[in-house]
Amino acid sequence: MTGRNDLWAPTPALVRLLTVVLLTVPVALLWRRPDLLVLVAPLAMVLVWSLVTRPSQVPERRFSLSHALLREGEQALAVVDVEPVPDADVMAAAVPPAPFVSGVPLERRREVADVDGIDVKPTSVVADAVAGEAGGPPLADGPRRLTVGVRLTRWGVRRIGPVQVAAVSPWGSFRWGPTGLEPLGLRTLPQPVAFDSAAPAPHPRGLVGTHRSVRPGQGSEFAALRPFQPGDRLRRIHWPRSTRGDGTLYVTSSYADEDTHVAVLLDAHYDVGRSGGVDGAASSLDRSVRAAASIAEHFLRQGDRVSLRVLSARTPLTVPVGTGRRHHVRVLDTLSRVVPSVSEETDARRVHLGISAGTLVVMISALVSPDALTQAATLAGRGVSVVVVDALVDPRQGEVVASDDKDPLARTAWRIRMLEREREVRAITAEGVAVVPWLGPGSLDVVLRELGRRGRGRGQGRSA
Amino acid sequence: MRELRELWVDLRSASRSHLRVRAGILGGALLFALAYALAGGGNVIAWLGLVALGLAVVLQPHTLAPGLFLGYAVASWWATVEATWHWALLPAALGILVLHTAAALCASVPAQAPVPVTVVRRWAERTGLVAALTVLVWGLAGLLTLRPATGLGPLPGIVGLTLLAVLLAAYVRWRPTDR
Repeated sequence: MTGRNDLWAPTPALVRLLTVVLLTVPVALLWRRPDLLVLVAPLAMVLVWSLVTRPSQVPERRFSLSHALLREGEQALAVVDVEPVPDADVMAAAVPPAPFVSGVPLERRREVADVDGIDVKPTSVVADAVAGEAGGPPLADGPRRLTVGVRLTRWGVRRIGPVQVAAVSPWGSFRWGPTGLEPLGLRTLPQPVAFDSAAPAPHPRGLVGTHRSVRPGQGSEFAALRPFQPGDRLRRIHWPRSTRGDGTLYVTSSYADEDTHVAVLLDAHYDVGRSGGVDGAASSLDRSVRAAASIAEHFLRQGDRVSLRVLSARTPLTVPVGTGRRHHVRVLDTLSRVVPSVSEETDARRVHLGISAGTLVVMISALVSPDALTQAATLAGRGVSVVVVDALVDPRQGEVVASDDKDPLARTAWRIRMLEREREVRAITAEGVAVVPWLGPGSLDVVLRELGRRGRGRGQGRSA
Repeated sequence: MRELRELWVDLRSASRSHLRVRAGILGGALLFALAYALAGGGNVIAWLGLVALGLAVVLQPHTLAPGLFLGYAVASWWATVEATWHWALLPAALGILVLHTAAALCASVPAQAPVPVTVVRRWAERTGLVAALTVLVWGLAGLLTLRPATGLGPLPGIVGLTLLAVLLAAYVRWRPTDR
């Protein structure tokens, strides 16, 4: 990015030197006032010094980021490398303010709010273009590195830049820049909120995983002692029982460990409320994305298979079923790219979500749009276990936050919509879909246990 | 009004090292005002005007304020100080130098960023060098004023100042660098 600032130009400091010296010297000569010459003598010297050391070369510069991927609340460095040029004296770089990107102070400082009441965060740095760091030896020839610490306070793709970089000559008489460097995007992954479910996922089906199966097989949980059969491993022989009996060898058998497929559906049609970032209030989409990240992390850590589907007109993203740590990063990366957008034309009943029977569907939604509820009801009608996480409920208050709109009509409209929403939630609950508010640790425990019990009940009924 | 409040916020959120440099601006303004008063120039209103302008420079070193201060200072001296040489000329000239240098440094860097110690030290050394040359000019001017060369007027002073400027330029151009 180049522009008219991409050259060395005189500063107001040089202009005032020139003006004062050029006006004073004739006055001193005409009015025979040598004292005026003495008075402006230092300014004349500074003027000569400045003109002699005018830089001519424009510095080469490059902008990069220390990280490609971060969690919200973490810090990164915006790194500007500037090639020093002769007679450049001081360099500076600044990252312009951006939503959910705040500067990291280099020294202890008090909080100062600007005219609009927003905290002033330092996002600039000054470097010596001549010597090395303070107290250090002079640098060898090479680019001078200017680093600005930034903290990302909300998930998403955050724009860092355009970074403004500038340099001045001795006495600050000539300035290059400030010139902007192309902004870079930094993917910020959602920070999973505290979530720890003790309940097992219902309907485990696979051959590996941590959930205990009803079938015997390879696993870690003890099932019974039984006589040895051909094919049993020798290390499974239970010697205390075998030596006590009639000479028959006994082996320990175990239950097979299984996993389950957890399909996370994220309703990103609307973002209700104002987001204050990781340290402030959360919007409904903040809660949805962080809840999705927590649920995915929890089940993936258990060894289950997790898929993700984002319902949004602008970012209809999908992550296929997978497991493991890399899959977890993939899910988080996808969540960081979610952009809320309503799709007006979608018939929720016709959307094919690729979910088979036996899958646990966790739908996270603010339940503002009837689409999400219709989809949940459709899935439940097909016999799929569906849990709807209500992301509109504020975990701190335990209920939906009232509108703080100044317009009384808007407040009334919000209340009416909330009443409709309550009716829709009651209707879907009556159809067998569990709706739980997102309240942190153990939010899904009761529902998962209930679903598991129902599943086992059905299984026993069929076998009987 | 909003702009003034923004300048105040800029000052309050400035780094400590930047604030020290801005204090240098005020120091330069006070030094000049004191020297001006000691030289017998102006009155209380003129001195307070200088201090007020100095505070304006502290608040906005990147605007016209430093130029206004310098113009007002030189014009006041010319208009109200009778003597063509006074010992207080030296602190007055040094006050102007300090004010200009500190204002130029403040205007060169973002207020919230700490100014590296090496930069402050180098700027102070440069200021010291120019101050030393100013002492020389002040001494020469004193000699010439007390023992005036008949018929030459301020010509020796001009020649001397030009010679100094040329020598300074030569030094700056061919000085050994630390790179």
